[in-house]
Parts: sequence; structure tokens; C-alpha cells
Amino acid sequence: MRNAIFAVVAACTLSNIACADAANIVSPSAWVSGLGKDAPACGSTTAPCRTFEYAYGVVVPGGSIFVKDAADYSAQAPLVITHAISIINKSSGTATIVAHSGDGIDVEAGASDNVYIEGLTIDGAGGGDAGINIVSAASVTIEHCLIKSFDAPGNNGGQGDGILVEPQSGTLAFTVTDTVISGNAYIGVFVVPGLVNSGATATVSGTLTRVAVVSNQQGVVLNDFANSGALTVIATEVDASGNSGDGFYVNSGSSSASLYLNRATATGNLKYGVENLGKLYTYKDNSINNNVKDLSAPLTAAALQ
Amino acid sequence: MGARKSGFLASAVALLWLAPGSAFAGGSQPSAWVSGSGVNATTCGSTSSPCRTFQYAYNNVVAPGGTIYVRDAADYSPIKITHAISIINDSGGTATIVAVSGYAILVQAVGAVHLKGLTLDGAGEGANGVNFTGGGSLTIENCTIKGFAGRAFTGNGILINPAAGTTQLTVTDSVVSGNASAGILVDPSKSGAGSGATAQVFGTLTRVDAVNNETGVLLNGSNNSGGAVSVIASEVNASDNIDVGFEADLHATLFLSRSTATGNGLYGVANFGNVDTYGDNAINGNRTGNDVIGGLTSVGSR
Repeated sequence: MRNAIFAVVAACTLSNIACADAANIVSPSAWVSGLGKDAPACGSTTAPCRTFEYAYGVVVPGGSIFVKDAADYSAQAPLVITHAISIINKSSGTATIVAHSGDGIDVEAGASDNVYIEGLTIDGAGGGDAGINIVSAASVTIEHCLIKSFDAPGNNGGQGDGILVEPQSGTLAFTVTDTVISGNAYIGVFVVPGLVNSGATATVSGTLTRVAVVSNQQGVVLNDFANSGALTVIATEVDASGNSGDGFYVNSGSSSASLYLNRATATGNLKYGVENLGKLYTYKDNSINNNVKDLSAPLTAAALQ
Repeated sequence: MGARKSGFLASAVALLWLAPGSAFAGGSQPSAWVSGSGVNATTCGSTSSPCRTFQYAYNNVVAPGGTIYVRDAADYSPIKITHAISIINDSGGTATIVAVSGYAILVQAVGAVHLKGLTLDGAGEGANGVNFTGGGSLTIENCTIKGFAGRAFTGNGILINPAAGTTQLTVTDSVVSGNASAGILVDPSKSGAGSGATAQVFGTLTRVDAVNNETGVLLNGSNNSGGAVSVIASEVNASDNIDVGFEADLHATLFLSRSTATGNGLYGVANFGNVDTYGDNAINGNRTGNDVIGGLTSVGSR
């Protein structure tokens, strides 16, 4: 028995996730704490793990990682999510992922996997590629988060973004609610299927609700130039203001990419409040004033029902 | 030594008598605190000596109508509620109930039940987050309810399933996500699933995300022809569900106000009963191209 435990611990030095798998420690949930320790049996409230990455390997697919108290829960690398998981901090204190290089969280999950993230502060600290980089999943839900200060050099599209949505194929849904995305060197929310390889065939739908996307270079960008699938986003009570470029930008390419603005706000942007190079719809209830230029082109009226 | 022994004996007898599940239900205190470092014992409940689980505090410490307060982050285990109670977590930390089978919270009360700041997690296995079969009022505030599994009367984030009486449902600032059936199902029935129910259910859903379920919000009065179901959904985002965002079936009325439905697999809104709109909802981009089936009835706001 002691030998078996020793073997498991030894495996940990190679890979934390492999460690948990080897120990066959899989539970529906695991707790993390600033006072926790990454060890094969961690995850209870009395013996929490220390990092999200380690806890991810302890929890069954579809389970949850719960935050017990305030701490930085980053591991060395981006947190890479390849199956359904929830990470939930509901008023336990400031729970951060600081990613001075690379991404904060990479979502590369399966076609039926739901990923849920609540109550995190994801900080590029003046470096870092993207706060949350979504490549694949059935859905990604982001609630009550702050994503700030991603500023990796390059700014070539995949760097300096708050939330980057870049599926290549399949169907993906994203929900962002009650969240702030601020001070990123490139784009606050960047939805761009086929960023890596053109010829994407992804179907993407999303909602942004009560989200502030401020003080980035660009606020909310939908760019579908490399995707022949479908892309629809409804932005409700989204404040895309004070960006050094545009508040909202849509380039539909040859696809049907559509952004609907619903009770949204754009002011103080240094280029356009709304730059419309595609299908940008308004329910005619938005406040878009006092940008360097408010609109690049007329918006298409859509009917509320 | 003798005194210590008899004291120990008395404590043991008291513990036995007050154990959860005993006939003794309800305590005498107006409130009790729970904590991850608490201990379920006869005298628990003060901030300096909190209880460990909701059910123990409910059964043994708090008087009907009283309140359980969360002191810090922990899993507080499933609870069955049969009389008025509040469970309040206001920034105490992540307070969870992980239910890998059955319910996280079962409410059979006739009275006022208030749940605030909880995370209910089925982990892809549990049956329902909140299963309400009582009457009276149920208020759910700032809760996250996810990962419940099953079909119809299981797999729901919130299931409102009374057979009779009057229920007032209030859900605000909450998320119901990733449940295999509905995010919120209001379906009054006799004996859980039978026809002939006579319940009056009135509800409001406000600032709720009902996303990535099979159906976001589903009202069904087909087992409740002798009663009524009427719910106002304000600023509810019922998007990216596998089938439908909002659905009202027979003998049920849903009012939509400043709500959103996009990316649902079949319909944004399915009206098989009565869906009324104040004309201010964003319903576009549902995947079959059918944003609304069955039409919407316009009603004026006042």
C-alpha cells in the first residue's frame, strides 16, 4: 500500500493530472484554497487543493471546482480545459489567475461539454495572450468575472484579448454575464472563427449581458471573414466605451455573422462607437454618442418582439 | 470523574435524541450559523460555535420561520425543508450543495422559504436542484444551479411541482445552466407527475440566465387544469438551450419582458399555451431559423 502511494506521488512530479488519474481519485467536486496543497487526496473542504490545474485532475468530467478563499490559483501553464467542468467562486474572496505569458484559460473541450466559470479575476498583468481562449466546447458560460490587462506583444489577433472565441468547426455557444473586460491591449471580446486556419465551418451563438468592455483597443469584435458557418451575438446592456479604437465592430465577411445591439452603450471611443462592415442590427434602444465618430455606416433595424 | 461520565452520558443521549432524521423537527432559536469548520452538536448555531450542515441546523436548532446563516465556504449537503425557513449566504463564500443523487433542496413547506447565495450542483448525476412540492412562497436569490441529470421531472435546475394550494415563486439574479431537462420547470402535478392538480402558481423570474439546458424556462399546466400557472420573466436570458428558450404549454401563461433568446436549437419561444409579450424582447438567431412558434400575444405595459 505504501508503495502504491509512493508510486502515485512520484507520478505527480511528471504530471499533476496524470497523478490524480493514476490515483483514481475522482470526485464530483474539489475545493481549492490559498492554504491548500496539491496532493493526490486533495479536494475536500478540510484538505483543499492549491491550484485549479491540479483540482481539474481530481474532479470527474462534469463536476466542479469550488473556491474556498482568496488566492491566486494559477499553475505554471494556462489552465487547459478539455472536458466539462465548472469553476465557481461565489463570494469567497478574490480568486485570481495571473497569466503574464500565454493564456489564462484555454477551453479545448468536446462537442457536448459545458464549461462554466464564475467569480474569477483573470489578469494578464501587462503580458499574457488571452484571458479566456475558447477553441471548442458545447458551451462556455462566464459569470461575474473580471478579465483585464492582457498585453502580449504582437497584437496579431490572438494576443492581448480578454475573451477570444476562435472555433474552427462544430457548434459553440457562449454566455457572458455581469462581467468586466478592461484594459486589454487588443480586443475585449473577440469572436473570430477560423482565426488560426481560414476555411472554418463553425456555428457560434452568444449573449453578452450586463458586460462592460472598456478601455481596450477594440471593445466587442465579430469577424467572420474566415468562416462559412453562422455567427449570432446579442449584446444586451453592454457598455463598450472608452476604447482606443471602436466600441463595437462587425465584419461579416461572406457569412451571416450578426450582432444585435440591445440597450447597449458606446461613448468615448476614439474611432467609432459602432463600426459596421456587415450585419449589425439595432433594436433602436441603444445609446451611442460622443465617440470620435458614432457610426461608420447605418445600422439595420431589427424588431423587438 | 463520575460527574464527567454522567455529563458525557447526558450529551450522548442528547445527541441521539437530536440526530437528523429523528422525530424532533425544528429548534427554538431564531437563527443558526453554519460553517465548514462547524460541528453538528446540540448547542451549535452561534457564530463562535456554528453547525456543520443545513439539515442539522434546520432540524435541531432553528425555529420554524427562522434563518440559517452561512459563515464561510463549504459544502453543506442536501436539505429537506418542511416548514418556513431562510438560508442566507451574503458573501460568506461559496456555499454549495453537491447532490450526486436525488435533490439538493427539497421543499415541502407551506410557508415562506428563502434561499440566497447558494450553489447547487448535480455534477451530472443529481435529480433536481430545488424540488418544490409545497405551497407558500419560494424565493431564490443569487443562486447558481447546474448539472442536474434526467428527463421530465428530473434533470431540472428548479422544479415547481405542487399539487394544490397557492405558490409564489421569485427567482432573481440567478443562473440555471447545464441541466439535462429544464433550467426552470413549473409543472404542477398530483403525486409528482399525475393529472388533476389544482395549484395556483404565480412567479417572477428577474435577471436570470437559463442557458445550456435542454429547455430554458418551461411552464406546463397540462396536469393542472383545475389551477393556474402565470409567470413574468424580466430580463431573462434563455439562450443556447438544446431545444427551446422559453416554452408555455397548456394552461400556462408566460409574460416576456426585456428578455433574450438566441442560439436555441429549435425555437427561441415555443407557445403551446399562452405567451404574452410587452414587445421589448430580443429573440433572434435561433438555430432552425424559427425564433417563435405559435405566435406571441401583445400586452401593454402600464
